[in-house]
Amino acid sequence: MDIASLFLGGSGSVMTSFFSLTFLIAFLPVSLLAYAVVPHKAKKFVLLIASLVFFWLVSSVLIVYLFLTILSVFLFGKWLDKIQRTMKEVLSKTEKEKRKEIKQGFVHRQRMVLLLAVILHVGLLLTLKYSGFFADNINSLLSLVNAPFEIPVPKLMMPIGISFFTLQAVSYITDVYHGLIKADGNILRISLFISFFPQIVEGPICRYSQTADQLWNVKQIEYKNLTFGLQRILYGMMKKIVIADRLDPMVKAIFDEPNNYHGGIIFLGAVCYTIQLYMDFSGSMDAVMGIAEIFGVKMPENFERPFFSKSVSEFWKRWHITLGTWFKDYIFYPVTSTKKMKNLTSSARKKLGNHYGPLIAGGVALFCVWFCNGLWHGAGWNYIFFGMYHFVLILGGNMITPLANRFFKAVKLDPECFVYRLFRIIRTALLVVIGELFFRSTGLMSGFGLFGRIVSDFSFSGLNSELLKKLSIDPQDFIIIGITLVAVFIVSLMNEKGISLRDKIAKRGIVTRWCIFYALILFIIIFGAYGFGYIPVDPMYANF
Amino acid sequence: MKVFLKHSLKAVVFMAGLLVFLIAASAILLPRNNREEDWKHDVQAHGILAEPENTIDVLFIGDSEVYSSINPLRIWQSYGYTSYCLSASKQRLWYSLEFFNMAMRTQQPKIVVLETNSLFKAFPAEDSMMHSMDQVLPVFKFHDRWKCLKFEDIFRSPQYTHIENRKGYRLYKESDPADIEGYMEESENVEYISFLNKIYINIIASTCKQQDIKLVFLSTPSTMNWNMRKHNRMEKLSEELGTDYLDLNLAHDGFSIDWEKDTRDKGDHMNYFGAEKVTAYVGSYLNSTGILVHHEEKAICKAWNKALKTFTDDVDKWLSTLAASE
Repeated sequence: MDIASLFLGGSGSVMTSFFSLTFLIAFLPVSLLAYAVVPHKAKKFVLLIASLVFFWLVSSVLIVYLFLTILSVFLFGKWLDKIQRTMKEVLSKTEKEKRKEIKQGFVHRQRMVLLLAVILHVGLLLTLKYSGFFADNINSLLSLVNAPFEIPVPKLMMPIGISFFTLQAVSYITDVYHGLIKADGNILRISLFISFFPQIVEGPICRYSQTADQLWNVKQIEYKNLTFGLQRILYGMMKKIVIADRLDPMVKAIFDEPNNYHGGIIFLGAVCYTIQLYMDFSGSMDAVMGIAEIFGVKMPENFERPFFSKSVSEFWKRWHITLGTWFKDYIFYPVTSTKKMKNLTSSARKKLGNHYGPLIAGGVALFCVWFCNGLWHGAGWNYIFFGMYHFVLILGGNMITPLANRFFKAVKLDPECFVYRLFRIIRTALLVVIGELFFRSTGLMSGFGLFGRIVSDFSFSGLNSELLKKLSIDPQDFIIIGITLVAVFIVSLMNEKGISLRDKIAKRGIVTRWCIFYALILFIIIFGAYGFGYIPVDPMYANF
Repeated sequence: MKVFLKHSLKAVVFMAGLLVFLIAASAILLPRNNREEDWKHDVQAHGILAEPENTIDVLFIGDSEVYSSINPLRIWQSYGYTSYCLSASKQRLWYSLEFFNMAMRTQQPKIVVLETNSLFKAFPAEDSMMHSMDQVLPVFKFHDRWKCLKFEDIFRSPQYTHIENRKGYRLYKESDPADIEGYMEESENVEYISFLNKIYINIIASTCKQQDIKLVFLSTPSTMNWNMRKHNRMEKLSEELGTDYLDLNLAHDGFSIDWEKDTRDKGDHMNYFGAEKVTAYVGSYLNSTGILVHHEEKAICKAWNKALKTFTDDVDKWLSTLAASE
């Protein structure tokens, strides 16, 4: 028995799912109770302690990575702040003519500090998450040239959520560098910003300006926040337990042994996986938002009905929004705003016009974004392909937009008519499903194999009750999934039209309200995929 | 304060209403029989529900080692004692306790034999919590029964009619030799039993004590699952609890496992031949306790003899085919 386990370190790994009993009936109520009973000034410390205890229970000694990240973020922030203050002091005492030169020196120093911080944080993430992948690929290359040796493949333990809190850390330091926020002199506030327990497993990836002050200046638990928060947790639970977890055995069976199935079944598997991933991730996000709402904290939304998107580009503005905006702000804009890229854009604009001109520099930046996006999701060529696939679709979409507009004008087709909008929505969903097929496959070659099978052998023959039994699913499961999807669709449609269902319910009488809540709770308990005959499914994005 | 009290009262009333709905859902979804189509899981172990009341003398509780190693029909054949295997694959102690409680509702066993392999299999507190909720509100366990629910079931009280002829034992005919290198090598070390497992062992032990039931620990032979560290722990534990402990992984007079022939999966579990040996040894031990009495009741003898005949006919047929093929 090691020391960590004496203090229950790592014993709460099941809590990575916010729908686990341990979290819902033990950790969360205890945290809420402690938060509610302590004096107002101490509430933020309760949140911080709860967050660190949560991470300890989930990750045990790997909490050291979290502490190192917090310490590093704090020190780099202070360092940048010191340079900025010195610069101001020196510039105020310097003659106007010499200011530019002196400023450049300070800016260079700041840039070096930023670079060092980014290298350290991203380097740690790369080492922990990708060293095995890199070593494997180097060994493959070495074997190609018949090298008599190979490098060892390291197997490193990675703390949960590192992909998320590293991006938060980098965003904080970069924002301090750009002067968007002031470096925080309070390490406890930074600790809470980085480690707030609802967000640390799967995000959302928050900016310091979005949540740090909210978390530090927390409020008393209010009745409305409590009830609205609980409703959102329940809604997320329905998405995750009734839909995502019910689809899991079928998806697993198809992707584990795809050779046993025709292309049509594999396509069905890809569609189901896409639904599963969305319901799993967005359901978990609903729980995150709900928990934060109970504490009076408003977090940035991560999903805005992505399957209503009419293009792949729009899809990625609605799916995992905080990751997309992170890449946009910290990769896309920095690349396009370099001097070389600006020059390239202005010269290309002259030759290719206002639409195609900026696409060249934009394309380079977009390539960087989607390469990183693919790699961020996992250490594998299929993930990199997944990124490149979306890069091509988005860039291609941008390139053909003027041609498409001209075509619509020529044939007098209104691109905003319902039928065409519906066509675009279905087309986008299909393109996303193909991307997810590669995402879920066990490797790039396997992904191409699956795609090839769909194209060359698109058949549903053999789809009978025997096959469904083999896939651990039955027609009744499909009925329940279908009913729940319709419910989610209706709620999404209302949200899309700006109608808040929770506000609507709140305006109803107590009997109607309670009947709705009882129905939802009983629906989840009876139709949820848990308990005997089901294997608990970890939140899917916690592994990325 | 007034607002707080109002909200608190509302929350209490809401939870009370929810409880009523959950109790109603539990009553509706509770299986009305112990057949496979009603119960869905571990139907062999649930066969005990259909056994006539107070007719089972010995309960064997544990994971797959139990249903692979102990044949209650052979114990009946040799001594006239009735017994039952309450075991399922990968059975953890929370499930063992559930089986034990289930059996105790209709039976008054004189001896409970707890197989020790599962005592070392830790499980998360999550499972324990879920199990506790299952016990209070069965809807959490049987929620999936909406798939096979019939309207008439709602108004019917449970009637358990499915009797398991083999009394929880599962016959495995295949052989796959074990590698016995390092098996039961001497060691002074003692294996660790998790905190939660200790709680469950103590619950079973104290219930047995209260009900005047003899608790026995049994380690069935398994090269893959057993070692001296576990044996040392069980010796200490049986001493602490004042129970008998039989470890069939160690040499005993007249008992020897042929690891070439008696295991079905490289030493993990016993097959038919291994089970015959283990059952014979355990039967002889049960007889030596002097607690059990040979059943004379006509109905019991008739039912058990019938089950035994069906089993022996099957086995004899298979053994003669086997002999012919050799």
